[in-house]
Amino acid sequence: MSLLPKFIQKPLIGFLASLTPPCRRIVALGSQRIDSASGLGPIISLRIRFHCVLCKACARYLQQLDFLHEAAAQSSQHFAPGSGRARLPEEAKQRIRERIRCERASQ
Amino acid sequence: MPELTQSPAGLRPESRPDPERWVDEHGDYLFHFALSRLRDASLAEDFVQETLLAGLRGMDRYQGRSTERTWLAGILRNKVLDHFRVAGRETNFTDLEFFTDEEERTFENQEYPDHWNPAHAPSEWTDAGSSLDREEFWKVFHQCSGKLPDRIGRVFLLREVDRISSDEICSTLKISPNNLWVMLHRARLALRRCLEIHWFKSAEEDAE
Repeated sequence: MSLLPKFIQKPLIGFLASLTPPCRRIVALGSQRIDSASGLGPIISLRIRFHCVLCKACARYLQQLDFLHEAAAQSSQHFAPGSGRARLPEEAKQRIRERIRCERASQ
Repeated sequence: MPELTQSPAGLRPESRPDPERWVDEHGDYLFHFALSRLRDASLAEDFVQETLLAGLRGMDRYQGRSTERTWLAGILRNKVLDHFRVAGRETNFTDLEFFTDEEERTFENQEYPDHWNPAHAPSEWTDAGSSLDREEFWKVFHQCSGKLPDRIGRVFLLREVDRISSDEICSTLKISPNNLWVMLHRARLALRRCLEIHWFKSAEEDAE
């Protein structure tokens, strides 16, 4: 595209962009694609792909959504001291231990 | 008489769970799990207690196929879902106004309406995959996901962390698929932006 003169480049990009949904819609569809059990269908998927060929920002966003999806799946395994996660207060632990002992004694 | 090596539940006696240990070994994990979904510390404590007591009562059903932690987290997850089922009936479970202004600014573009505002377009995340191995990243991740509004945060955790299907979330929370998609979309927009600012961009600045 950068080989074309500037006065052709801009309208050409505008024309190609008009063939696909705007970025705002692509970003929403990219999220829906993760959650929809039946997928988005071949035509919408093709339009998203075409849009991403022209738009680096959307391509990057969709890639980052995949990263978030992967990170979220792993997030519950990352439970280490100092990782910013909440801890059960000591008095609650003590109370729960006592409840367990009572429950066991009554079994 | 054959030697008794297994409990009635199919477990060797030495591998049977010990509920006394659960509080120390899994208490913090279960508390974080409950708190991140319920956003109420005292309610989360109650849920941990109820989970451990349910585990104690149902110990004979524990087959040892999953780790103790996974088994207990499964009990807790079902309790949280039951709680949401009731909450979903009682409240209008949406937070659709969240991030609308930010979304407007993100796609404010005079030349091409509804395309990225260049100031808000995603930056390149250098070596994102290796972030997953760094504890500092997870600290930022949990801080960012903790900033999501209550309902959106819950929906995001149910869908992306617990991997519960959209249909099940919709029926549990009594929301339409469209509302769910909007909530998840806004959660992802916000979380992505938060990670970009607080992790990826700050890592770049540190490197400079």
